[in-house]
Amino acid sequence: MEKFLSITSPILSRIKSDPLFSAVSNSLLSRLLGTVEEISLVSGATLYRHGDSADYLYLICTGTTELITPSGRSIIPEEQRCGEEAIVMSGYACSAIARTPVQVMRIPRGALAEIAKAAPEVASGATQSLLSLLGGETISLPAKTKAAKSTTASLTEIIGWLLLIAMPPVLFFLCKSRGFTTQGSIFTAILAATVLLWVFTLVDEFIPPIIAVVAALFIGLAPAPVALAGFSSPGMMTLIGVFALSASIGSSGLSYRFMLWLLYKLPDRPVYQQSALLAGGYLLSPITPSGNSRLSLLLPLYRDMREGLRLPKGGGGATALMAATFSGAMLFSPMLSTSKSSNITAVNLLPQQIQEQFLGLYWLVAALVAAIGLTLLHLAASRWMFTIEHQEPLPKDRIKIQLELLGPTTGTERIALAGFSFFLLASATISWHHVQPAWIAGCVLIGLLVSGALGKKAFRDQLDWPMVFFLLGMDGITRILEHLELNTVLAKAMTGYFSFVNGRIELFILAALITTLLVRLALPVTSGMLVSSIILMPVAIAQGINPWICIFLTALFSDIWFKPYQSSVYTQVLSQGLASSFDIPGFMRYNQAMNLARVVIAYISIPYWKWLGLL
Amino acid sequence: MNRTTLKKMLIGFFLAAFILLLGLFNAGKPRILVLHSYSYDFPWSQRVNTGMKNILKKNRNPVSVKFHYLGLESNLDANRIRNAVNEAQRAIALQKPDLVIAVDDESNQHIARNYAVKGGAKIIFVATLLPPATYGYAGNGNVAGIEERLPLDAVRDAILTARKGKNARIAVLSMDDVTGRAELAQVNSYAWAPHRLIATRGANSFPEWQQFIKQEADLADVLLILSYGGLVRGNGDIREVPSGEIATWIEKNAKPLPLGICSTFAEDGGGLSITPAPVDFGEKSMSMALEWIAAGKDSAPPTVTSSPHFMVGIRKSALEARGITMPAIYIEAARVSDALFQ
Repeated sequence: MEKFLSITSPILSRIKSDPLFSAVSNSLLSRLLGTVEEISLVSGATLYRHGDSADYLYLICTGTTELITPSGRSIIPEEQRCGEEAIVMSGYACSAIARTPVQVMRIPRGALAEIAKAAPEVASGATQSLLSLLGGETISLPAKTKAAKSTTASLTEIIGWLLLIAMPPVLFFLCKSRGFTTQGSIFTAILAATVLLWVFTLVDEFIPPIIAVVAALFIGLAPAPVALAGFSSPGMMTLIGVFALSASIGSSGLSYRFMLWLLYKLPDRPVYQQSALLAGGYLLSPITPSGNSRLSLLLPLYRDMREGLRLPKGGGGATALMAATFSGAMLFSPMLSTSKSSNITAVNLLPQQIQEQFLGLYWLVAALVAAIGLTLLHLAASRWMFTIEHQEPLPKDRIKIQLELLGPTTGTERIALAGFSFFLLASATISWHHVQPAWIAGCVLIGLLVSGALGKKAFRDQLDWPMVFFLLGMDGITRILEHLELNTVLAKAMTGYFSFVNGRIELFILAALITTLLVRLALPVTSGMLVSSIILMPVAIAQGINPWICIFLTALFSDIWFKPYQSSVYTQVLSQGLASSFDIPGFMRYNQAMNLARVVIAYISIPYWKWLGLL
Repeated sequence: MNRTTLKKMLIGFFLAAFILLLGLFNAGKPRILVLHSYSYDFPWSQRVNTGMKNILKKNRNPVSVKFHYLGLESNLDANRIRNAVNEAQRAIALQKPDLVIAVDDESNQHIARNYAVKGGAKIIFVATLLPPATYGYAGNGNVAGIEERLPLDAVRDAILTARKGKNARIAVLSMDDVTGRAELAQVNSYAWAPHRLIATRGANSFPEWQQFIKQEADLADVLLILSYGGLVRGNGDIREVPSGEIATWIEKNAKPLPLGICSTFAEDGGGLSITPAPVDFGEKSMSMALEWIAAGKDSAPPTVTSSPHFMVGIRKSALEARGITMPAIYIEAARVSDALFQ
């Protein structure tokens, strides 16, 4: 006869003492506690029978319970627990009988499922316990090693937080003493805090702009229509549309299928294999405004190819392949308005008529010499810098099987392909239909959502929302600067430093290079490019240099890096455990060559820009 | 103390200091309360606000501005006035403004004058038809403002122009409320020569207006229409007559040429209006407020002034129906004021 008792604190002690729940957090236990029931059973009573639906886990408080296996073997559980099947199986694997009067606590299956979802070690513990019970010997599964995460604050962090507390007020009083307005001084202090948060990486990159915008709104430095204008700008729609398309192409498997197909069709020679990776990255660029995202799509192919070709670890062939993978993800970043997330936001810095001119494919037209030049220099550098040892033929049979396993293109892939084609085609024909790219991106978004290619969950999880907020926050900062007329102050200050440029593009390129490199020493790519643009834009306008060239140069030079911490794309390669697969010194030499190539192609582009009438 | 604890403490200190400093700054910002006599959706209030917002858009000094509307353009029974005054006093007590801009006579008569006597918040009166002394503002170092002078010189000249140089007998209709009486006082005290005032009336119901137009005004050449916000149906019906209905009826039934000194007369269906410029009142008063605040707490008040600007409104079809063609300069003036109607 079952007797229900009220839940008391000993129950919690019993649960916490069970090894199965030892690693479960208190917040999860708190939820579990509400579902626990205490039951008293008389000797001989059956808790459950073999084959019954596994509805409860039983924790034995007092008394003895015996388990009977289907073959009739009797087991007394050591852990004072039975019914672990409720966590990992649908039915009980054996029967459980009370050998003495027992008091047990039972936990329902639904509650256990929630716990197991949040704490997977509960499920592995239950599996281990069942295996031990039924196998008749203690089976110890190796504990899953968690990635070591340093929780100890570094000295740099401490210094960063101290500076964050001290520097903005100091800067405020300094600005006031220099004759700045109160509001200008305050916003300068806020900006200083933003930069410190970035420089010392005290929070994620997307957070500082949000802090700056909220602070400005909080004290009324700028009205909401100014500070939050980015959220109602066409840029917002472009960002969401392009991110959605990118997510759809990646998650549908279309990009992977395409790369496999490319490898299968191309001749089996190193230059073609490297070109396939490069071209794959380039093709992803218009709709994947993140080098990291492009790389994450290319890296599996790099792995497959390196292993398929049996390229020796650290050899020239593997390094050339990595160079092609890396450049595929990165080289096209500055070449389109949508191939780098900061480009999309930087467009808003341009005067209206120049914005309209460079929306769509005209950006690529203006960057054509740079795009071709960089590609050729990459190919030349790859050829001369890497000695490719003998390699096995590409396992085309395996690739064919991989393609066959993927089967015919799915509906989602077809929709993603249609969205991609529509976006490219519509962007290329703006002069005919006169629809802004933002609204084209909006149509693509609608198509993906309505067709179900991008569901609610994918829309929530796969879109890079932190990046969207980061970029719109940066847009807000720029607008607040303009509202407070600090851009004029900045322009005046910068004009002094950049007076040597004197309207000459050659010197402006040098100024852009030095500024961007200095800013990039402290800031990551996206914020580094935007901050450089904000600094250089007034100089370009004052000196009669086309503002788009200013944006393009900062986009181009912000991709230059010398130390791994400056490139999140390179650190992504390292974090994937690929450091040993290629020759790091060789790759770094290649990277320095491409850094130089970026500067060279900026200068080579000058006659072309003059021919286009941009200079 | 280990580094992690120190870091947590620093984060906590930063967040607390961040919110505290921003909060303190916000709390210390100068506060302005704009106290409108009429409702939010009353055209006059909206146009005054347009002027104020024009100035606020250009302002970069931190300042907090709130708007409160008494809604006293109609149904002015004692209860309603008392409730409106109580609400306004609560708004003032809540915001504790450093400066109150009291727009039109009602807000000054019922509220601002009391605060001027008590001291504390600075007062800027705007678009008041009655002299500042009426509210006890004369010589008060805490009060400045902009008086509303009806553009009667311009009205006199427009009558001459419309009648091709001929003198006119003028009848005048106004509301019998604070604004109406003040407007009428200005009209009565104005030297109209070469024209002549032959009849005036202050009334709050439409039938009284209609009766006046059909009887006393019948002998006039020009009928001056003063503000009519809050004119009720009468005969026990306290519902307000829509402004479009008033202007259209007058234009259709009045024998003399109706000329509105109410800012929306032409817009409502009338043929010609020459009115004070509410946008200018808004701009001037907000500029005055910001300058006074910037000058410091104990600074002397700006000089009391008035707005020299006025607004021309023309409805061409109504004037053509009376055979009147106004010179191009009037048409252009109406066009730039966005008050030229077909």
